Amino acid sequence: MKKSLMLCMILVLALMTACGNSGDGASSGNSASSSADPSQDKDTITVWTYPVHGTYEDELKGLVSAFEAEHPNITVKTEMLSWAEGPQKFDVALNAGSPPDLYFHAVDGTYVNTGLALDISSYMTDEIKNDYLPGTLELAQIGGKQYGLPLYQFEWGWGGNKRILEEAGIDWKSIQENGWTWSEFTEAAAKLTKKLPDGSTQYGLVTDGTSLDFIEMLTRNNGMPDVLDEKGEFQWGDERIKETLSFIRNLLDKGYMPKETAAIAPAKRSDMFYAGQAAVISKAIPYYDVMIKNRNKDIDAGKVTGEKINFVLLPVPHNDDASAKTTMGAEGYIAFKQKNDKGEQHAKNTFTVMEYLSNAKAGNASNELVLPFVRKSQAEMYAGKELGTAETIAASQKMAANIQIPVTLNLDTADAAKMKQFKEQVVKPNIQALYSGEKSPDTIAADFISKAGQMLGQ
Amino acid sequence: MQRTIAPKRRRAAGRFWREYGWAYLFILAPVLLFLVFTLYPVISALIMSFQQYNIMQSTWVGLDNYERLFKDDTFWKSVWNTVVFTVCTVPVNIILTFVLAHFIYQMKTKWQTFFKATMYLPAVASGVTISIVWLAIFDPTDVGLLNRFLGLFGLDPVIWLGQSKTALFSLILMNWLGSHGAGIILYLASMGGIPKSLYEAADIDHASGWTRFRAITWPLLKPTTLYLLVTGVITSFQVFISVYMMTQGGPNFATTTIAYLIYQTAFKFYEFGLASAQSFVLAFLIILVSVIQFKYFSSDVEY
Repeated sequence: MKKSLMLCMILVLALMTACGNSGDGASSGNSASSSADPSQDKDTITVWTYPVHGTYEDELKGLVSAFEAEHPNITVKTEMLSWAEGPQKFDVALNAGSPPDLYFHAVDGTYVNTGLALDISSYMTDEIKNDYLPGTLELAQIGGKQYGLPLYQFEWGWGGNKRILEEAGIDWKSIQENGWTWSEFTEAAAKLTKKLPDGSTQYGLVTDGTSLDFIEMLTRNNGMPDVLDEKGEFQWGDERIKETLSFIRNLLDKGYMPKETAAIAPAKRSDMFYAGQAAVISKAIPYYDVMIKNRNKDIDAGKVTGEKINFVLLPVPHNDDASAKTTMGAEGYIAFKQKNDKGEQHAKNTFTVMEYLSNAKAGNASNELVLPFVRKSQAEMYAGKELGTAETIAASQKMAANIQIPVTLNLDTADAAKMKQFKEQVVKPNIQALYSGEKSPDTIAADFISKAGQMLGQ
Repeated sequence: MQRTIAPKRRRAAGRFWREYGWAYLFILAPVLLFLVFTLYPVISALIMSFQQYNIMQSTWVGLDNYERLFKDDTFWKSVWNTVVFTVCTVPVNIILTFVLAHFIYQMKTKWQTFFKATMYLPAVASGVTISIVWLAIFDPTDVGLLNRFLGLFGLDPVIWLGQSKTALFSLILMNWLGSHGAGIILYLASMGGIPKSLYEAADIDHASGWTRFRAITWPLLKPTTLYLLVTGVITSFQVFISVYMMTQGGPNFATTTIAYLIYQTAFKFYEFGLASAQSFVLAFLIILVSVIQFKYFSSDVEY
């Protein structure tokens, strides 16, 4: 009997030891090999990232191999997440207190609120700071503290099907150069909407009913940077929001947008654009240029069936008496510490890896995505090797001149969290109700004001 | 006196461990798993429901989270949606399952096997995959499978998931048509367990089909029906995957269920304290409904 009791005790002890050790793997590894110079201690940095562009996985492998060759004491463990499941996986890890050391994303106030986002300001040397193009480092700061290093600047616009635009007599080059107003877009949408020979409809504009990009881009082009402005004051409570909602409702009522918009998923939206059932798509990014060129190659090779199309990057139209704004921000690596902090040297190593993964060579991400570079060294390295068409690059640069800096970067983190909740719980359902015709613009605007009082205290 | 009792007790304890010790050792692993993966998370979540949770430093807020959720319109809307979903799916599913099982039971063994396997297939397929298939079926344009079917009768396409009046019904329809496999297997097993002699006696008495069903089949299948009712209600109260994959709770909260709201509160807004409070209210509702079911439906169950 004593044997069985002993066995029980061993089992319990083994479990307790296993549980007690969880999450401390790296630190135990550190202590095992600690030396007089901590910077030479063995360390492992975990990186969770996404297939940022078609060849990013291979590119990252190359960067990591080169880094490990230069820093033999640091091992970089990368994990390629899927865009669909990755955010949930990261959120779980973050809220369990064990996020990866580096995560690919835009800097977010909710991350900072957890207390686990690592302020890297003290590691930023002048050499690194001076390599970043003006205004780009700020896109990864909150409250003046640097939490991430941008890999590229993202830029949201609309996309057009060149053939359809030209058939309808739309001067897309002029739109790229000078922008367009809501009135001008409405006129263009009337020309772009028609019945096709097969009985289906070609719409002037298609968007999806599940995301908030569309309303956010339009409100920014009507003088409202976001639901709250940088001072935390509620913006979506006056005539401007009614005008924006009425503009959308009008496009739906006139049939320029599909009446099914509320139920259109992002993939369906893209399918409609590819199939020539929509002249303009919202949202589009300059990378569509490369994606569509690759799709055309696949059609030629017989791998994909469908009509070959040519992409035109378009700015989002602005209200007639408002100025044009382009929704932009930065994505790149954000540094985190864990609840069981692994110490200062680990944080320094994390920054070293982070900086390497955002170096000149890593600028290929901006090049592939046809997006503005964030570092001078990247722009120099890829000069003359641009992948996008000259028109798209020029349009992208023109749009970047009208950048709307995300208000969340300067907003108090508590206000940023409240705004996120307001968007999910108030804006999203109301926009879906607008698409499906269940609520009028006036009712929605009144609901925004009422809910802002409850949720935002304004 | 004490000297003689103590060795006796030691001997009895020794005998007890010799006889039952291995049994306790064998149940140790599941008990430890239960403690670590069930009891500990439940207790942690209960504590969390009284806190404003933060991974670094949580603050005790008493009943604030419960007060907030009871004042929240979205929470009550999600409770309503969950109840409607449950009331519409569980009874219909039980009836459909019973009817299907009844027909399959009449068939030859090889056909029984075929239909059992076919009907059980959705149960082994991933909920995500099934949801993607249903997204194509509910495609809002006239190329959608369901809209094409309606088109055969000259009806206009319906925006199934995009309007409040049809979105929840669409999820209910999806549930009606795809979740009978396990129930059919259980009913068939129970039907096979009903003694043939009872039906032979009914034949001798010239009992009608309805009388045979009412007096023999139904009472003897009641334990299975009660089981399907209780587990069906619990599963329906926790409906999540189809909502997450197909509607994200929309449009205008028409399909926001409690489970989806918990997910949204926890993983979109990082309000783990409030999400824990919502989870405990959901657990309380499930327990309440289960107790009522047992109280009122199990009294005349013949096991």
